[in-house]
Amino acid sequence: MDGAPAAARATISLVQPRGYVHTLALLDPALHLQHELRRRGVATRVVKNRLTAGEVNFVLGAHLGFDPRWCEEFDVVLVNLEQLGEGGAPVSPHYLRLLRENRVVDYDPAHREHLGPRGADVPLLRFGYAPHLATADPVPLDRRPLDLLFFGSVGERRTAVLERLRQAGARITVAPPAVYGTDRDELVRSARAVVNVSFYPTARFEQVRASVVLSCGTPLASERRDLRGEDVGPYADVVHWFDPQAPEEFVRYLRSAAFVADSRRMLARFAATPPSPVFDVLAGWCAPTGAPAEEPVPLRTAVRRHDAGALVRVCRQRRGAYRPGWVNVSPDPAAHPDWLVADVAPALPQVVDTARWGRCTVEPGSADIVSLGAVDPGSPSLPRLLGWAVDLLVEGGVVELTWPDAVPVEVLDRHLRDLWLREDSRHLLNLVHGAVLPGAEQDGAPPARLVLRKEASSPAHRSLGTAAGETFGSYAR
Amino acid sequence: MRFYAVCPAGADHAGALQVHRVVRLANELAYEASVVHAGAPGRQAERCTAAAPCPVAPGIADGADCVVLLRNEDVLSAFDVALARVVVWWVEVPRFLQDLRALQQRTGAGAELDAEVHSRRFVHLAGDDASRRHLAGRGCLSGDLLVAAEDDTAHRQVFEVLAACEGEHLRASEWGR
Repeated sequence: MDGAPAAARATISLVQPRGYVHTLALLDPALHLQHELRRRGVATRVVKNRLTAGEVNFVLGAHLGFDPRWCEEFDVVLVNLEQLGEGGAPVSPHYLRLLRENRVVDYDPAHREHLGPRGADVPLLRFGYAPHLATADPVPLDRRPLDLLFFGSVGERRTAVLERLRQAGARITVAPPAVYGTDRDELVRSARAVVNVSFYPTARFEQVRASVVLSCGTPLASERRDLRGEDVGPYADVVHWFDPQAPEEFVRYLRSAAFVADSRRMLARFAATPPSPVFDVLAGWCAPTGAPAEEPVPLRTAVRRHDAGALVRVCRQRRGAYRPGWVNVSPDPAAHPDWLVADVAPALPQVVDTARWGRCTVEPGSADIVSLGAVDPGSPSLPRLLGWAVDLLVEGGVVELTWPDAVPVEVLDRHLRDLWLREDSRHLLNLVHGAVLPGAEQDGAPPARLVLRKEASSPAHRSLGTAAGETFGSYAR
Repeated sequence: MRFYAVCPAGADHAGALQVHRVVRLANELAYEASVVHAGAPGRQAERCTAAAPCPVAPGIADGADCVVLLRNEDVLSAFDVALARVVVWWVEVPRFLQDLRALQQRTGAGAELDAEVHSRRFVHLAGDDASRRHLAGRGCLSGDLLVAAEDDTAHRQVFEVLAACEGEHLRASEWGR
């Protein structure tokens, strides 16, 4: 150690259940938070479904499924962007308990009553100008191809207001559902204005949407409503508020030169708004936390000492598909696996690099479940991969793999027999279960999900196997 | 899919054993399965130590990619879950309707409870013949999870329900598999 203070670091983690595209909506607040933390000197990265030990983790989307154990293992701050209470989002009691029991950042002072005794101290986010969304050369407002753009899920209430705007003469483009990121930003930048209508009648002002639209250099038109004391901060005088019951006047104004001139002034005013001081508070939370929490190395012996019922699940990490709750193994440092290995299927015992526990030695029998994912029957590395799984598993443990369509399972059986004869005749991998991969039933000849269990072979079994083989195996090597 | 099975803990020793067995079977199929104890977090964990050690989760990480199995006695736990698929395992329910009424009175749950637990929000598994007759009579039998089945049969039954839930989740998602 050179005595220099460690740099402040943070992880912004988005919860994304498999196949759930709408998590991408959380990228807007996540990137905004990242931008504000970085400009305060905090090294920050945005990741999916994973947490980092030894630094603060801002978690967005915990209402989509977040294991409360991770709050004990990691320094977690839950960022609640769901509307709580009557008329709000239908969140579960489990999520509300998570909010009450852990450190939280919210956006709405009305939520404090749901956040337990610490609710009064919860910092409130305010999303303002996001310079990373600005473009150097935006298309002038009066030359944009779209008139009014709407993006987001279309509910009954939104449909009614959009219809009234149409009847008043507005040409409204509704963005295709589930379009996020660059494509959504390009759409926004091609519109003369974006229209904002609340999904819930009781909704708070959608400041994330407003921040994105105005930061992209596009005016925002929002329905005027009873704000009931809601403080919309810098948005009060940079948004075009219209009457959703009688939007005719607004539609005429939208077509006028005055709209363009006013909008330019509003956009300039918004871009000059200083960021909210709440980000100073959050940056203060990102000071190094010292040693990671005392959690056992994810190897079976250590984990079992800690919890007799716990299982160690190991998976080969596919790029971009980190599996929370599993020990992810990869030779690719860019994938930030839990075990960084030099080889896909190293011989055991093997030293692996971990970000959390440093270098660890992985002994045979260190895992209860190994997931290999999709395997290539023709790959010369498949026997080694299977051998690694057998070695890694405790007796009675299981390995899961996806076997491609149109390749007979007998090919796998031959690999397993060779493995047994040449490498480890004391153990067998026996098929426990095989079935069409869930969700693939309509695909013609779909791949199969196979589960094999590591079992001890008997002396008689070993002799029979040796007699049945083409060679005498390792005995006559 | 993450799989949680709600364990009735010390109040029902046989029930706890059954739930732990299902979690063991699911883990043997390489699913990510845990027991969750009904009631206050952590309070009942000590009371079902007679059951086989299993991964125990302190709570349900409620999400669309998650399956929660609960025995019909613990059906009220279903109302703690907003996004997960709920599988109700009906075990020994010859007096289910009477029991349900008693449950409603004891907990203050509304009369709509009966209709709700028979709705399409739930997957219904029969644990025995009496349960199967009850569910079939109401047209909501989804499958079997037989209490006395051998491991091989029970593996298949656990797989079928989890694979069905997973398939449904993936079909409902935006990009499928």
